[in-house]
Parts: sequence; structure tokens; C-alpha cells
Amino acid sequence: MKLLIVEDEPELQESMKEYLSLEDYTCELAASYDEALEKMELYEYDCILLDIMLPGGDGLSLLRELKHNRKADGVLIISAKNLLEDKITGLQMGADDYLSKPFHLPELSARIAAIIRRKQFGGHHLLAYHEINIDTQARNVRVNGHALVLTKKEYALLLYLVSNRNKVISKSALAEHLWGDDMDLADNYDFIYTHVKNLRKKLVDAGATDYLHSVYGVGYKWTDKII
Amino acid sequence: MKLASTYQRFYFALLCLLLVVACVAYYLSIRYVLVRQVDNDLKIEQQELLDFVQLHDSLPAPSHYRDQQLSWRPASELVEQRRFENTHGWHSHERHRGPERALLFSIRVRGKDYLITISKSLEETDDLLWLILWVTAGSFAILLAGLYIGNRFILHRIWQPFYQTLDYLGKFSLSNPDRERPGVSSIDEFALLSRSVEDMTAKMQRDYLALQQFTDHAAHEMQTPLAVIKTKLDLMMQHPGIDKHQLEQIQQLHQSVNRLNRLNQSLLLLARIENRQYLEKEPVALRGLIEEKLDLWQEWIREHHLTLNLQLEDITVPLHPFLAESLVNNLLSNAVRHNVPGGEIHIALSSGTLKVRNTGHVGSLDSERLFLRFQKQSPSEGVGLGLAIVKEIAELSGMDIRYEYSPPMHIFTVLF
Repeated sequence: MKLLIVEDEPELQESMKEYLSLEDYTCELAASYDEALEKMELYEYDCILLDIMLPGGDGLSLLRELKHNRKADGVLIISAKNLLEDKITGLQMGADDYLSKPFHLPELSARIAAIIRRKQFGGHHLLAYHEINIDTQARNVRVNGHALVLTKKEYALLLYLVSNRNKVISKSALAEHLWGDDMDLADNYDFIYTHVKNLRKKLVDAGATDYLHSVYGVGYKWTDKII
Repeated sequence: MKLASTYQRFYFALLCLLLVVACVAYYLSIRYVLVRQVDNDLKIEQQELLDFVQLHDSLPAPSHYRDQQLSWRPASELVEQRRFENTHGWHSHERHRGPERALLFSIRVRGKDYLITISKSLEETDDLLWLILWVTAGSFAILLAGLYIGNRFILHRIWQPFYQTLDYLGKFSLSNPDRERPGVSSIDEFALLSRSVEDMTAKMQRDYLALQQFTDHAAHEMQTPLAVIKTKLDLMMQHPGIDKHQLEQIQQLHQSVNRLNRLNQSLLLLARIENRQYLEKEPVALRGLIEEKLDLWQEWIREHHLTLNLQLEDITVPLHPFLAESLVNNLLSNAVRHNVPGGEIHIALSSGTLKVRNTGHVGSLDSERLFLRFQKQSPSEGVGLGLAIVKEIAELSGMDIRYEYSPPMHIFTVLF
């Protein structure tokens, strides 16, 4: 999977590249409007991470160029402005998703995975992890072929954890994913614990291996390796 | 009333007054001149009569011509002074009794005193006078009418650019500039006005855009380092050798970054509201919005055993959608977070009012300071900007927000 990261802040570029490279993504970087435009014209990417404010131009005009050239690349807009107008304009112009800064890397990764799943055809909406099968189109989960009934939040949690397998996910990243960042929960993470506990119990009861590990009570890790 | 009409009204009232005064003065002065003329004729007649008396030593017979009469009667004494009189013809056989000018003087003929009256008809003089007067009045009337119509037309044309400029100002909107221009005029004052208005609106537009860009740049400049910190923390957590203590510290850093982020978002929102970046309104269905936002809090509500009582009517309120969301979010978050375990929340939405009542800490809050920025009830909760944002949104959208304490309920009412 090939990604283009259009971002002018080198530190952020580096973080994104480092985290996404861990997940078998090939990342290319562009730090300015012109550089991004050139790469977008020359190559094809599975997903383009597009910062709106760029030296030399506006990320939205890059998107316009891309759509004008009828490129099928997935586009995830990353903006610091957090303006509803930008979000609406971006999505109307054909972007696949919108993420505002600052974001958690697992969130970024999950969003990219979702975009790529949607963009591709032929069974890519099926996500398998050993005995667990997730159909992201029908939004249902099967364990060893048997349907598992999950709540909306449990489903979101499972998909998020599987998309970020083998990573330590902080509770704040989980909270942000489940409730959004405008929700001022005053960092009360008790609710996450409840959902995690319920999900884990349902999976184990259905005969799945317990892949979900608590990391020192601070975060969680979904993995099949012993930690 | 329009300036032109006001001006026209005063101008023509004054003009009419002046013309009436002028007519009267004109009449009086012409009449004076004409009567002097008649008086001179009468004096000549007197001289002729005196010559006749000197020559013949007797009085001529009284005569009655159409425009001149001579009459005399004995007088008891001799009056030196001659005098003029305005009279009406008194002669019995005179069918026409018109205005006359008479000269009266005394004369002694053969030792007897007589009072002589020579009178001339003023009829022709009067006719002439009236003719002159009517011609003059007619000219004045035509002059007035011409001036009135001309003025109307000229004023209308002259003031046209002014009204265009007014129209431009009326339609002017900071957030939605159109390319229309104020009126163009060859008149210096109006041209200056147009130019000043154009310069001023252009400056306002520039300032507005600069402020808007400022908040955008401020957002970018603050959010980007926050994003760097947050992503670096995420990466640090992946490090294989990391221990519990370090992980806990990272988690605390995450919380601080989140808090900083929320503070930043709130301040930017306040700046954008003050900057009037959210002026467009559309009908927002508040009921759906409230239910949607409450859904986010359901775990919290369950966990704290809060009782929720909803009385929501299906109404729409004209608001910017983002502001509506922010308003509802802050009010609900306030009612939920400042509640006590086992407490209650009542939300009533009806046309014109949104009332949020909730139990909470005992005692009224200081309603003066409640809506100020960074006013927190306890140090750990939120950033203390929620109610300040609610207040700003209410003010911008022309709504009213009120707080009252009716034990044990804290009541926030939004009137729209």
C-alpha cells in the first residue's frame, strides 16, 4: 500500500511516516504544494494525506487538481483549522475523510485503513484476524463462523484495535475514537474500561483467543504475540 | 422625508413668501408713481384755473367730463393749503362710480371765497395697475412651477449617487462581500463620500480578512506543535523497552495535550465568534441535536445514576449549525458534568425557550461572573470557557441566556 504524506511540518511528517511504516505502508513525503502536485501527477497512491495549509498553496486546490485529473486516489484531509466549512468543502470536493490536528496516530491509521477498504473492490471489506472475521460493509462480526452481536461502540472498538494490531493504544486515543474530541470527558476513562471489558467477554465467550492485553493499566494492545 | 423634499418644501415656502412680498411692494410702488402722475396733471389743471380766474376775474363753469370734473362751492374762509384726496365720484348723474383723485384748494374771486375741487378718474390707472400686477403674478407663477419641476429633476439627478452609496452601505456585508461599488458622481462632495465609503469598506474587509487569517494561522501554529507532541507520545508508547512508570507519564502528557487542545479550540471559537465568522443562519432542528449530544453522555449519565427528563418539541431555530452544536454541547456538558451522583437533569424545549435544569452543588452561582471566561467552580473541571462560549453565541445570534437558582435546581434558560 502506497501513501503520500503532504505535510510541511518535518517532525509531524516523520512521526506519521514512522508509525505508518510499521504497518506495511510505503510512505512518500511532500512538504510543499509544488512537490505534492508533482508527485500526485506522476504516481498513484492508495491514499493521500493532505494538509490544508501548505507553503505555496492551499491543500484544497491540490484536491481540486486531483479530482480534475480523475485520479482515484483516496484522500484524507488533515487540517489544523478545525473549521466546519473546510470539512464540508473538502468532503464535497471528493475527499474521503477529514481529520483535525492534533490527532492520535492510531486514529490516523484506522482512518487510512477504512479509506483503502472502501476504495478497493473484491473482498477487501472483509477483515480477518485469525478466527475473527469482520465484514466492514455489513458491519457484522463472526467468530469461528458464528455471528457475534456487538454494540455500536464495541464494534468500533474492535475494528479500531484490529486496525492497530500490535500497537500500544492509549486510553485517550480510544476515548477520542469512541466519543470524538469535542466531547469533554475530563479524561475520565472509566467508560472505556466498561466497553473493553464487555467486548473482551463477548469475544472469549464466543470462543476467540483473548488478544486484547492491558498495558500497565494505561493502554491496550491487540496482539497474538505473548507480551 | 427625503432631503430633497424637505429642501424643496422650505425653499418653495420661502420663495412664495418672498414673491408675495415682492408683488405687494411692486404694486405699491407702481401705484405711487401713477398717482404722482395724476397729481401732476391736477396741479396743471389748478394752474390753468388760476390763470382763467386772473384773466376773467370769474370762475369757469363746473364741468363734468368723463375723466375730469371741476366743481366749486362757496367756502366760509380761505384755506391756504391745497390737498389731495382719494374719493369716489359723488356726482348724482354719474352712472359710473369709480375711484377718483381729487385736488381741493381755496380761491378768492371778487371778495368771495370758494373751495374748488378738481378730480380725475383713477379708473385707467387702476386698470393699468391690475394688468401689470396680473402679468407679474403670472410670470411669478410660471417661474415657481418651472423652478419646482427643474429642481425636482436636478435634485433627483444630483442625489442619485448618494442614494446609490446608501444602498451600497445597506447591502454591505463583511462575511459576504459583493463587488458592487458605491455611486459614482462628478460632484466633489459625493465623489469624496463614495471614495471614503469605498476606502472604509475596503479597509474593514481587509481587517476582517486579516483577523480571520490571524485565527487560522494561530490555529495552525498552535495545533501543529500539539500534533507533533501527540504523535510523538503515540510513538514513544510503541517502544519495546518502556516501563510502567514511563507509560503513566506519557498518559499524563496525553491528558495535558488534550486539555491544551481543548483550551485552544475554545479560544479560537471565541475569537471566531467575536470576529463574526459564523453569521450565516439556517433552520436547525434542536431536538435532534439535543438527543444526538445526549447520546454521547449516556455512559456518564448511567454511571452517575442521573435521572433524565426530556420535554422536547419539534422546533427549528435559525442559527449557524456549528454554533448550534457548540451551544447545545456546552449547555448539556455543563448540566451533566456539574451534577451530583443520583441527580436530575430536566431539558425542556418549546418554541422560544430552551430550559436546562439540573441538580448540582448547593448554592446559587454568581450569575455576574458565571459567563465570564475562565470562571471555574472547581479547579479540575474543564477549561472554564464553556459558558463564556454559550454567552457569546447567544449574543451573536440575538438570543438571551439567563441563569437562576431555584433550590436544588440550577436553571439555564435560552430565549430565542
